[in-house]
Amino acid sequence: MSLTSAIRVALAALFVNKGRSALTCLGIVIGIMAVIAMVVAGNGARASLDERLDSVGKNLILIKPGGRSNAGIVLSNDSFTDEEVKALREDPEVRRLVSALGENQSHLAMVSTPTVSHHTSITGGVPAMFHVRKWQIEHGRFYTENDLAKAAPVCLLGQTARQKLFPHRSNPVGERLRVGNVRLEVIGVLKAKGRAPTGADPDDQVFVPLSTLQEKIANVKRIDIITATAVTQDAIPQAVERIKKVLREKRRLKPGVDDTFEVSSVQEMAELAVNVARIFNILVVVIASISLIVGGIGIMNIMLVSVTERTREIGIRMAVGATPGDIRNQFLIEAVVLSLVGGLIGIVLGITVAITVTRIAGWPTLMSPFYIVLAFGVSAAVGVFFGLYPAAKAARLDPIEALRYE
Amino acid sequence: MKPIIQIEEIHKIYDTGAVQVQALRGVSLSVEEGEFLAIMGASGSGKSTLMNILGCLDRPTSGRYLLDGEDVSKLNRYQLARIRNRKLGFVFQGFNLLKRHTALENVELPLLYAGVSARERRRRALAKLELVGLADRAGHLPNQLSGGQQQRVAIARALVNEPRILLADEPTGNLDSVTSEEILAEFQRLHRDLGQTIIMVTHELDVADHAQRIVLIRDGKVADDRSNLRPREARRRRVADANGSDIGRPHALAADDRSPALVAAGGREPGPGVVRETA
Ligand SMILES: Nc1ncnc2c1ncn2[C@@H]1O[C@H](COP(=O)(O)OP(=O)(O)OP(=O)(O)O)[C@@H](O)[C@H]1O
Ligand SMILES: [Mg+2]
Repeated sequence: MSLTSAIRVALAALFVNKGRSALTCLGIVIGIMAVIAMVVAGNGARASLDERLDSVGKNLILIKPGGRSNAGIVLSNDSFTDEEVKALREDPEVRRLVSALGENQSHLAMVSTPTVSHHTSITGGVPAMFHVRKWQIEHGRFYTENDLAKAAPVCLLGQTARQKLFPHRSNPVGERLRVGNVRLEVIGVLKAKGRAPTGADPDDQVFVPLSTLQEKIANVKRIDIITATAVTQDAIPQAVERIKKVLREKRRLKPGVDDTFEVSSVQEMAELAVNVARIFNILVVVIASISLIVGGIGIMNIMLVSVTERTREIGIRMAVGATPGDIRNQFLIEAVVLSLVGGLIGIVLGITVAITVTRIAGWPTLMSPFYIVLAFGVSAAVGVFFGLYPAAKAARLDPIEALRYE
Repeated sequence: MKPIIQIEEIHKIYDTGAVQVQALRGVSLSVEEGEFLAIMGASGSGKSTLMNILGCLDRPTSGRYLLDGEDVSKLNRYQLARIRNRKLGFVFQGFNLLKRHTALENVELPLLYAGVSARERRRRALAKLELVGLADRAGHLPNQLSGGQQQRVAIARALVNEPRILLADEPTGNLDSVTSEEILAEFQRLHRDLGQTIIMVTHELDVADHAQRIVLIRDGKVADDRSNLRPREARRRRVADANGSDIGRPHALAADDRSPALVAAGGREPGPGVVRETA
């Protein structure tokens, strides 16, 4: 029998039991839908995380005060001193491994224009910070070494701060702000960085030279964080080790004593994200396998019922010349058609869910024709695998017994 | 004439675990091309068993079976299916039409497995439906047809692949006597006009009496084999009448009237009461 005839016979048989066929597909529909939705949504989440990490800079190293014991207990909260920063800057090994290093101090304060007040974070830093943090200018300019040396009363605004303070001006360069008694001139506006994975808004900041913050605004010297950029991704572990060594020496920590500071890299966080993604992937595969197996068993079950119900039909077909192979193919095709129809519906629903989820979450929708082909292939394979036993059972029937079956 | 069927010392033992049933105990038979043969015998004598073997639906436990010169007693399931498809046509007591398929689709079925194209299947199936006078019922489902019409669809199906032999196991068993006559008339016409070889199983002598030759099976053996010199002529209703109602036909009783005499002629055949019960 030709394949087209065989498919037509199978379709006719499935159409007779429309309702049952539809219910049988359901397992496969749900399985394929779940996989497509989860894979696409997962890819979107990963891509958006990658993008964030990229925008922070993958070679970024964070040096924070406050060491933690292995149990996570904070051991010390000593902020860094100018000498420590200087020691890091002047260490030849650190210079070799790190392309830029910048320290900063943050201070919460009320910032005012003649019309608006806004409580925000004022970040004092060094010009190198812009390079290290990959901050980008939208309008105006960065502060310079000269501004730092003079403790110049200048500032840059993040996009959120700009919007709060100058809601009607996208380019407020040249305007003036007041922080307490200090007047600051706006010399630039940064490009938006977007909300961080932690939920903090890095755009709600006012940036000033470190000296301006320490000497004029906060009146306290307290370096909260040092950031550095490793020359290459490969240099990150060495750079981290070297920075630790310099700081331990500077703080005179004896061997065996825990660090009183923390050196971490964005790379580590990215690796953590990769690990999370890997676990997620395993989870997807497990869920997919379970639902496809359940769906496949559903198909097998219905096909077995169908073989029993249609024993007489099988006998008639055999009597007029159907070979065991013809009978096997007929039931196999029915099973494959069932799972393919399920797979097709699952693909459509899965894509719909994926688009909805990624839209809501603001992730990119990364759909690839490969997934569709794969889902189709997997459904077909499920149909063949779980259809084989009922089909073989039908093919093994004895024509006379099948004809006599009531 | 060369024999189209030649069986020698066919034995069939059904092994049901606890008991072994000897259904056939050495049947030898030769059927020539163009014969109309009736196999007769009491219930349980082994007629259907023999028919299933002749029809390549089953294999003998031992013995030789030459069909059209080919030894088919050792063929596997695939090869037997091919033989059934190419050389044999079946008519069953219970019609055995596919319930959800139209008359035309049922007739097309053997051609489907012969790999004939859809257009050609349709053409040939329609021709056979026409041959049995049911061209106008091609689109009907079996449950929209009378028993006699269903059996004629089954005959069209059996003939559609131009088989060497038409095999019928109790083809009139589910039909009333008048409709039975129609089916028998159909067989006689196929035999006479087209030279179709027909082997028909029945336990009723007045049905067997329509054939050219009658083989009597008793306890799994051939008890008698004789030619029927003057076969009974089946009465045919006109085609226009055949599609009408079966109710109120004037000759409905006539068939039963003949029974006692025929029973006597058939020796160990069941009496008229039994005949009516199984019919
Ligand atoms: N599948 C089977 N398994 C076991 N025994 C069987 C089987 N089929 C038939 N028999 C036995 O073989 C013998 C012959 O059966 P068969 O069906 O050939 O008789 P028959 O002449 O066709 O009878 P009937 O006129 O009632 O149809 C019977 O004794 C029957 O019980
Ligand atoms: Mg029988």
